Amino acid sequence: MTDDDLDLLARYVDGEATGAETSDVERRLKSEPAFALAFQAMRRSGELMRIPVDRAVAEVSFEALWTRIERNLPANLPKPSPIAALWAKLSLVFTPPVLLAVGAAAAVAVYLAARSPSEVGAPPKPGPSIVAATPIPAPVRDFEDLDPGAEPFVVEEIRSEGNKTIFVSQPFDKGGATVIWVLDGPETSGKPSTGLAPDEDPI
Amino acid sequence: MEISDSELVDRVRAGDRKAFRYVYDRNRERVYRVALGMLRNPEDAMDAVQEVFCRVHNRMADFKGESALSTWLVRVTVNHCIDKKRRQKSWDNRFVADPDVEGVSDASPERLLSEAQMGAAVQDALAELGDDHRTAIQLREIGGLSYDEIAAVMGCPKGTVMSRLHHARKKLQLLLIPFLEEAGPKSLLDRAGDGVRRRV
Repeated sequence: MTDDDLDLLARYVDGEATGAETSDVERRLKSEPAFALAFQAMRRSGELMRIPVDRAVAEVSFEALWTRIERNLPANLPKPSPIAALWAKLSLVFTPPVLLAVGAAAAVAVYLAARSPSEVGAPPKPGPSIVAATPIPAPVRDFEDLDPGAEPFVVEEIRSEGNKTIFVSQPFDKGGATVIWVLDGPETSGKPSTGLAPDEDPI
Repeated sequence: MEISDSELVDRVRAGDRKAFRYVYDRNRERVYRVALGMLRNPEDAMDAVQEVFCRVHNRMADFKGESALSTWLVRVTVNHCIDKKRRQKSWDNRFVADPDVEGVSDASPERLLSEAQMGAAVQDALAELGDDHRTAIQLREIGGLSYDEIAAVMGCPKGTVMSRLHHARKKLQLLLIPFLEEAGPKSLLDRAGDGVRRRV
């Protein structure tokens, strides 16, 4: 009798066997005496444990036991604080898998927000690509003379050796600017490519 | 129609005593069986059932619904019994069935003696097992829990439960050989067909 045979028998005796396993066991019980003996031993050892417990259970007055229990129950349960109740409900919702999914969704949302509206949902274009979307801490010299109050956003195009970079920035005081978008890509003929439709305002 | 666990819990939290009585009726026998299997003394088991249900009633807010209410109750019972045994620091209380109970009183003296010996032998054999193996086999054989329920109660994977049951059964069968040879009234092959036992 192998360990696998014993495990199969255990699943059968415990009601955990699949339909195919059950058929297999019942066939082998009729054809293999050693298998049938192992089955009998397994069943019998379970019975030996249950017999005294079954008898004790038959003796118990569960009504009397309930009376004892009820006597010791408080008249009113303490109400949980609103924060504890809220946390208990939230902890059911925000399990680790859910938190992971929320984090992933937030990351995707940030990525999509970092793309221009025309790019969202459209097939990738060979045009400019986003290379940075974070403020540049150092002042950008090219915008030194801009009036911060005149325009909320400034678009500046720089061409160099067949490549083109477009800065979308917001001046915050004299001598400095916060770069919001930096679009970088190869220069194309005609109008500068911004990834937007020709008649669409880039801002 | 059966009331769901979450509805029961909400009603008990709101102070519905009938709902708690329903929880008690639905789980009392299983809790008692597990407590008796672990504590091996009927009076201790009764006390344990009382304490477990009082504790569960007062801490119903702790139930988070990660497992079935019945599984949570068994887990509380197992932890309670482990604590109680630690406090007693004794594994010597032997529970042997009282032969003067209904349905047994007409048994012959030889049979009663044999059953008393058998009960003592079973307790000795269980005492030989490690704590995890003993708890697993008792939850299965006495409590009637499924593998998944045992895994939830013991906080381990289902495969570990199966392994513990395998080793526990092997050792028990070795220690109980003289009692395993009693085939009972039905022949071996007749009994093979009704091998799948109903759960408690």
